[in-house]
Amino acid sequence: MIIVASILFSLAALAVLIKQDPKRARTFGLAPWQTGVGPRFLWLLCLAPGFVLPFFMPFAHWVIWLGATIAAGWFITSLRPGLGTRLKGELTALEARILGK
Amino acid sequence: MTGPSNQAIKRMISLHGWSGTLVSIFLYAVVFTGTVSVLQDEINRWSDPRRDIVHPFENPIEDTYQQLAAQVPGAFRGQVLIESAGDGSLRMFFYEKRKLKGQGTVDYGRDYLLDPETHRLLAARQGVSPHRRVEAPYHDLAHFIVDLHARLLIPGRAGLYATGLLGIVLLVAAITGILIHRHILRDLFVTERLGGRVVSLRDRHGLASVWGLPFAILVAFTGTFLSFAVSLGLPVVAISAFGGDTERAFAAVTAPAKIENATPAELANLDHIVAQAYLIAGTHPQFLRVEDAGRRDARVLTVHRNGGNGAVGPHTLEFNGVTGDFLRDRPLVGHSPSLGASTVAVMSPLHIGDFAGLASRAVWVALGAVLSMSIVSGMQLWLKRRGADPVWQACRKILAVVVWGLPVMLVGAGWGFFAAVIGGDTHSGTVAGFLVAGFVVMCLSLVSYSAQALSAHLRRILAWGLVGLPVLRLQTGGVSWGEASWNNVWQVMLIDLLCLTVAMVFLLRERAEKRSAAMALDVGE
Repeated sequence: MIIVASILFSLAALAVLIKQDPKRARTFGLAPWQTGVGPRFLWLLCLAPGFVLPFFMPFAHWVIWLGATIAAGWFITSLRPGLGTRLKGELTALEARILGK
Repeated sequence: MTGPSNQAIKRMISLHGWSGTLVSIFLYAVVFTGTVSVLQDEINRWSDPRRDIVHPFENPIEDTYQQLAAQVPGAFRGQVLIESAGDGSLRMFFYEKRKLKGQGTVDYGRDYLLDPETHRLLAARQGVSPHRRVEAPYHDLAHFIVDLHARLLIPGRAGLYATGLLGIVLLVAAITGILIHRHILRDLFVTERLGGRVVSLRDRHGLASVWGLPFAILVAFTGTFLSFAVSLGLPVVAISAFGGDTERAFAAVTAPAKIENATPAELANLDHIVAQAYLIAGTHPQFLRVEDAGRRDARVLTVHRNGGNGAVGPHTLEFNGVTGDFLRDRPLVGHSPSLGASTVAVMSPLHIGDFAGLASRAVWVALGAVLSMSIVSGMQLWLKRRGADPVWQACRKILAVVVWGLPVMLVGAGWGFFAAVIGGDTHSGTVAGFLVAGFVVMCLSLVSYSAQALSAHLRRILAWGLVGLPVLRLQTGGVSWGEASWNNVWQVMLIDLLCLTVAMVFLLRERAEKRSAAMALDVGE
């Protein structure tokens, strides 16, 4: 359970880092998300489980945390901005087709 | 501090590109099959039609051991191997070390196969140590995929040399990749841009490569080590110090010297030792070995697979053979614990992700997918940049054949395996399925007019081939979902669902592409 929480914690920090990344925002013509939290602090939060886990959990769990964070980090970074809007549009279209509108 | 000069970067870009391009097809084959073979245990259970498999160490073995030990010739009583045989039965192999002409030192003795639950005798023979793989026809599919990954189906040591060299190439590509990528952290969150342009492919390659970098270095290093340690390191030690006797060299490296004491003594109760081992390692032993039974210096070893009680490496527990006391966790290499021994012990688990059950394997499959994506996108980028050159343009079709053809051929191997399960030779069936699928891929590549069309055809074949696998498995006597739930064979449902999910993703993607193409046509009109 601790390991799942650690992975989710790191991914949450990563998600904020992705959202406020200036180069990503510039590439897709978006305004960077302002959170008031600096990227260094977010990186520290993201990597914090990696510093803490070795003291409380076996080495295998640390390796799983690292691997899962890398794989999931790649996956969420690969999603283009505006996915939520696109999904909403798709669902609305699907609803319209089902209801025969 | 100054970075590398522009000239040096150009040279490194060249090295990065050419080192990848020259062997990228084989590198992709090794990485992709490696990703699939991470699920080797799950595929083994999924392809096995037997409903209920009992672990041989779940039931007491002491009485059966005593009965059989009383029957074998005295010379074979000293050394005993107790394990789960390839077909799931309980093996008790009583043997001695014997030097045979042309074979070096071998284990020669009497081999008993018993029902794992009732210990009823199933088979007995006398000869050299048994070949586990021959006894496991239901595991041929996974064996084939692992063989393809570890040796690229090249027989003998040459296959291991080839994959070892590929590991070095991957390492070179990863290191030169770090050096040439000046904005590695700044580009960490840049998603692939739309349009399929060079810059889009660069984003795709950069993203997968940067995120997958630690994993690429890890698997390249451990894979190279595993390939060369077995194929080169051990034979060199054997030739230089043991007259070419690999078995003796292996024993000298792994088994510590002990104080000889030939005074007769009763062997400790094996059931008590197995129970102690379970408490220490957290798993049943993979196998148990008795050394010098009947003597005061007897030892009992229980070898446990990776990951017991949170450890990454395997456990080799050593017990006093007379008192049954636990002595120590024996290092994998050398005679006393060392950093080297610990490093060697984690090489295999870290390479195949086998150290925390399904959790670690799932993470390794995901990381393997990232690495496969990095290799494929690297090839795509290389070809896109050389789009004007007709020679490189022809290579796009080869890329499609490899990227989509290999998964199709693996699915073909699965079809061949299941077709041969009922009464046939599963090994030949698997190889035949793989080759027939390869032939179909080649024919399609000849008749397809473009790389894009070929990829679409192969994706469709792959999707329907994957849908057919669970159906064929059930039709050839495989475990049904009801039986799987009843006997807790979750692997059956996992692999079936994986096949169906991947197929669904491809089919839905094809449908979406068709729809957007039709919409684009409408707008054009």
